[in-house]
Amino acid sequence: MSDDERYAAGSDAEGPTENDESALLGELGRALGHDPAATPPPERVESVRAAAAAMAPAPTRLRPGRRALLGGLAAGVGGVAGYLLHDVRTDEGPTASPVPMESIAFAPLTDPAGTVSASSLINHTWGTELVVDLSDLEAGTAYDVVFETVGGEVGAGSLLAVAGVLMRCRFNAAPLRADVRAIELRTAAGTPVLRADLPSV
Amino acid sequence: MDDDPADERRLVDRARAGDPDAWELVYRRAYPRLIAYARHRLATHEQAEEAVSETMLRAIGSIARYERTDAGLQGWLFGIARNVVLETYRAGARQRTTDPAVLVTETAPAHTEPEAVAVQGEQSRLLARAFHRLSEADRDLLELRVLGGLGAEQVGALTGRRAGAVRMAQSRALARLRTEYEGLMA
Repeated sequence: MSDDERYAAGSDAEGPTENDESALLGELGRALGHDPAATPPPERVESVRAAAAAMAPAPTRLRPGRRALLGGLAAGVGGVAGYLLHDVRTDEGPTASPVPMESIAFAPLTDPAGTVSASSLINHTWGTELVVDLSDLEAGTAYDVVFETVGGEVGAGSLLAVAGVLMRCRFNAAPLRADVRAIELRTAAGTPVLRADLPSV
Repeated sequence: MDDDPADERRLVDRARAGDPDAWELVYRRAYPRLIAYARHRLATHEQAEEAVSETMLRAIGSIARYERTDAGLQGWLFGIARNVVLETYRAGARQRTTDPAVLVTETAPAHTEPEAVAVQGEQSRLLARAFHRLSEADRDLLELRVLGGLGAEQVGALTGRRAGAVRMAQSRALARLRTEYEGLMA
């Protein structure tokens, strides 16, 4: 008798039926947090779309209207996404019109605080994107990026510091640029490590 | 996720071409199960969201090498998610085991009457506790089935077992779950 035949025979005997098992599986799914109606956060949908556009063949990638998406890799995809976008932009060549970027400056709040070799913001219609090149952070430590806005603090993602690597990261959050007052890089314990106070726009 | 091979093939073709609409569809279809799995395995909702995003990024980066198996696109994504979660563990991001009660409160109840909701919530908490009393092998199998939404053939393709053996193992795991659950109810 095969496993399938043994299973079928077992289900027909006095034990639980397949319906019983299906019901129990359904209950277990709910107990373990499965919500069939769950939907991903909009900014992460945007990030997936942007990453897909970035891997598309060149004619598709250069289609008008995609450029905003290329700048839209959201919080959480961090360094990997950053490299993806960096490559795409390099491929676009000198004739491509660059996305307007606002240079900002981070100040260290601890010693050592890590090195910011470049940092800028992109003012999207759907939120604000931080593009930052980081190095010399404490390897193996997770850091959070927090946007301080007129309405309170908004998390924009996190990164895990790696030794000896320039981490080219992108972080996104929904607040519009005009509402963002400052940006901080913090340890998991909430200690600010780097801070950029932003001018009003 | 649609397991029809022809539909999947068309979707994969669009995904390989970098069609954002196709990837959004893949993401939205897979999200409820991927986030449930990651949320169950990782300490915080943010970590789970990160893991699902990383899963999608890796899928986008490797879709060119995707070949359909019995596991299908859904099983393939779930396989990536398992690796991402494992790597997150290794990176030390797992700060604590997720409290099953947290998961229950995050899940929309099937009933709307307050009394029924309360009863269902208590049953779900006990069931989650019973689940955590199972062996790692039983939990892994039931997670693939329940959170991954994978059929016996798909689980078999992922784990290198025959579908019949998967069904038998699942049935036994459910029997042990029922025993643990009834013990907690007593």
